[in-house]
Amino acid sequence: MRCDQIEKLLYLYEDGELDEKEKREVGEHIKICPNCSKKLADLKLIRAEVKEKKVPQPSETYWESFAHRVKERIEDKTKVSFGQRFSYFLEMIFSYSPTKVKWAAAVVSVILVFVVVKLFVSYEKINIATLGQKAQVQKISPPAGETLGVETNIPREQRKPAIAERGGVAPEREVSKTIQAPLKDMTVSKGLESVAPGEERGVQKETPIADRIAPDKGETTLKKLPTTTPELKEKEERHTGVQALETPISGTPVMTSAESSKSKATMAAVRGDTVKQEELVRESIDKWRRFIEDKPKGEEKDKAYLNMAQGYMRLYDLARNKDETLKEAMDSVKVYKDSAVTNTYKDSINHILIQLESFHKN
Amino acid sequence: MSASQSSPLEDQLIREAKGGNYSSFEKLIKKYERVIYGLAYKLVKSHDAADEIAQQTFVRAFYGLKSFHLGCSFYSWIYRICMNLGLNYIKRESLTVSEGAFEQNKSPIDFAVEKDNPETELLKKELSQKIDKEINSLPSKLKAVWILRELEDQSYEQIAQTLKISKGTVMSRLFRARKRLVQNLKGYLRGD
Repeated sequence: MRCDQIEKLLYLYEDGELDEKEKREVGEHIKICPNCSKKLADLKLIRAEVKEKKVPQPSETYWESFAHRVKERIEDKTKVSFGQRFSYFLEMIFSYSPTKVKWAAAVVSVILVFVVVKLFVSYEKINIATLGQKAQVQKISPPAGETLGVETNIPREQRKPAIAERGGVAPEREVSKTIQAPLKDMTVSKGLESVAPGEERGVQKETPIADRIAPDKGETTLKKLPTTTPELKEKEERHTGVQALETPISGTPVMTSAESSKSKATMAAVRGDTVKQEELVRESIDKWRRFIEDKPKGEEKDKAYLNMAQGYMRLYDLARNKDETLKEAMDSVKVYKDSAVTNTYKDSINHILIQLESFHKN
Repeated sequence: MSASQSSPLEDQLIREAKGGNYSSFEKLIKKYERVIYGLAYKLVKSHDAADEIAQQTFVRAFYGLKSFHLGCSFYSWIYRICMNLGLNYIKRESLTVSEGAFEQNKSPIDFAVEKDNPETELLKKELSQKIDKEINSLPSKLKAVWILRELEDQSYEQIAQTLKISKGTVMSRLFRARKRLVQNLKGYLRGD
């Protein structure tokens, strides 16, 4: 055997852990190999040195009180808090457990990290998609000066001149588009419309703007807007390069311009009165809240949640105190999201929540 | 001290201690306190630290008794606790042990320290310090195996059982530890 082979057996030889054959081979080798025999001698010397050292023994007084001191520490709950005991437990698991358990713990940890990262990435993707859609809405908005003062992406100061230019009244198409902007990417179940409780869905009256405030309810309604006229469709396609949807995707219709324009805030927007708008949106939210208090059943309730969430989105858009309103909006929408039962509505509300959260981050 | 299974009497004490009988646990402490302190001292080379580790070992053992399986070796169990506490302490404190460390940490308690012959003491002390330094610079896994084998005289099987590793791993770690020590202490040992 060569020296490197012998070296591996050398210490086992010293420990008496070799079988007879190996023992004989190593014994013969160290007789003729000064290098290996020195290594063995060195090990023996180290051992002798180490063993020679005595562990200093504390006095008997120390041992007499040792168990008592341990008892005191055990009894002293404050010294070993729950947290410490938990850390002992963890340490026991990770320090003394077999390798298999450690591996299992490692695998579980990796899976957890993977899941968290995946969730984070998908959340970021939604955010990016939301921002992308917002950017697209900006692109299709009419040129500056043609927009109504409620467009979310235009500072409030710039809005008033735009309204003023048209004497406080904007074309209906533009009104609907700008109101739609922050809600463009929301999807709601087919037939859902942003109307106040008690209003009949889908029934719109062709009345002059001045007459569109329902006197009995104190609400405003706008006539259905021509969102899919060939001229507008062509114009939109020119702006975005994307073919406009004539009909909403089945089951998840986009909130249409007409629906958005029905809100009371729209009327106030036409007047250029954002404070009034804000109040009206708040009233509308309160109305929905009362509607929910009457305990509607099933989808009706979820629709109400979604309408309230949309209301909060509008409220944030109009609010003077953005931070406070955003916090209120996020808190409320979170509750609606958790309360909604129908998946479609839940998703739509969640979408609104994500948008609000993205505003919060920004 | 055997690392194999507990004796029936010891099992009885453990059973009672598990049931909350502290005097039974105290008997277990009395039985193992010196060996646990000895191991702790070999690891950390300081009375204060060894005292702390020894006490902690029994405190943890008491809290962990419920998870202890009767029939297993109580000695191996508390030995592992002590070993881990000691190695954690070394990692935490980045302890560089020397003879001086012990002197500095000497408690007021009287120690029955055996004195060397004054003529050889100086040379021995130098070698001893160097050996301590090298042992303490070993990675904790190698150091644990080294201490159990060389200072505690445990067999390969016992070490494997104490550290819950295979016998092959014990052999491999011990080989690496010894090789490293012999290599690093070459000049001191041969007087080169």
